[in-house]
Amino acid sequence: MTRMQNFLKGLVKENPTLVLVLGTCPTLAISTSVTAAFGMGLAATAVLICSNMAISALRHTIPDRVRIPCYIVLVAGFVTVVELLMEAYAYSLYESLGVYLALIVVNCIILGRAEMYANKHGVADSAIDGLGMGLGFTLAICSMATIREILGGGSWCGIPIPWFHENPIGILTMAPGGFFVFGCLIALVNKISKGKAIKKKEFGCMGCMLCSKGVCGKEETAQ
Amino acid sequence: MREQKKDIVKSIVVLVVICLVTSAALAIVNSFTAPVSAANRAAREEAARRAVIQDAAQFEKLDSGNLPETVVSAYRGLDAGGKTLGYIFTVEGKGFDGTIQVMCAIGPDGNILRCQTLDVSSETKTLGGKTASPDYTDQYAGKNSSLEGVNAISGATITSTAYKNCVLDAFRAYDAVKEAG
Repeated sequence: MTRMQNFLKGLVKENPTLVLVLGTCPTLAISTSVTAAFGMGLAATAVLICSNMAISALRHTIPDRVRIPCYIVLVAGFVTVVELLMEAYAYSLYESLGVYLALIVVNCIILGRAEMYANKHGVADSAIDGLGMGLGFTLAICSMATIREILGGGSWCGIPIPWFHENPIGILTMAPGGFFVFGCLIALVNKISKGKAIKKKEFGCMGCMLCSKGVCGKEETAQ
Repeated sequence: MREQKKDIVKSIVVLVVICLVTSAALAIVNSFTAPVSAANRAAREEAARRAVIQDAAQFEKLDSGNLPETVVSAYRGLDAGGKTLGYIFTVEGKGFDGTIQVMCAIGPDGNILRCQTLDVSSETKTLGGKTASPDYTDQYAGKNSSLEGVNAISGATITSTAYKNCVLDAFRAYDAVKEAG
């Protein structure tokens, strides 16, 4: 797989939000406003690139049995750095993201990429993977926020849009509307990729750490 | 057996080292951002004070040691000639689902100049959150400590009551400040 393919796969084919269905919690919660969604996407991307690189660089040092606590400490460190910087230099964004900024620590996309990719590949590849996945997440959350903000709130990035502003569909800004838009987007991505997107072996048994090390013994049946 | 022991020791050492390095890095970042954050916070508070007493030339911090416990900070707003325009109290109260913060400015005649909601993020947005809207806060302007004619928000009794209590605490603080001269 070339580096370009490696980068592009995160955008559509293996989009973390719409194909792997990871990181659903921030996606549903933050996608009511485009500006906040964009900030969330960029924050998660920055953390993802840094954590992927750090985990990849340390992949021979970290013993298997303590790898999850190690990853969590590293990810939490990067998230706190982003949090501190945002509080100092982008306070309004910091305020609009609220608790979800700190919750990037437990975002499945970041831990998922650490497990599935960063601990098996080199630093540069992991950074590109992180960038692609992060931008894929940003793309997904922003397109969802665009739909929800225009139809549900009648504005885009806080700019009121004439006709929609007088006729908002209020429910789209609430949780049920979030699920509805989310489902529609997943269906759309499936339609475009003709259902191929979800049938990657990496997400089956073979993607699991235990299997690739031959611990769980299901290796043969999976193949 | 020996192998296993070595493994355990290695795990512990690696985890401890990662934790130490991470916390050291955080301490360094924090030492850069903390002054900026503090300055921003001070500027926001200053802007909030300026919003409740527009004509004030400067604000003087008052000792809040002998004021009611819920009073977070107290300021005196002075005009250019040094005359007191009013007192500003930032008061905390227990809302529906957390702490709410109200800033209340009381003039020298004992009437409210303006009330401003600082933080009601813990309240339900469509009910208690309405205490942040001008429709609600403007009711307080000009009222004395009896707070007659201030209407609660229907469906948000707990937040409205907490808000009123904050304002009453501000009056209690006002009396204490007046007494002290």
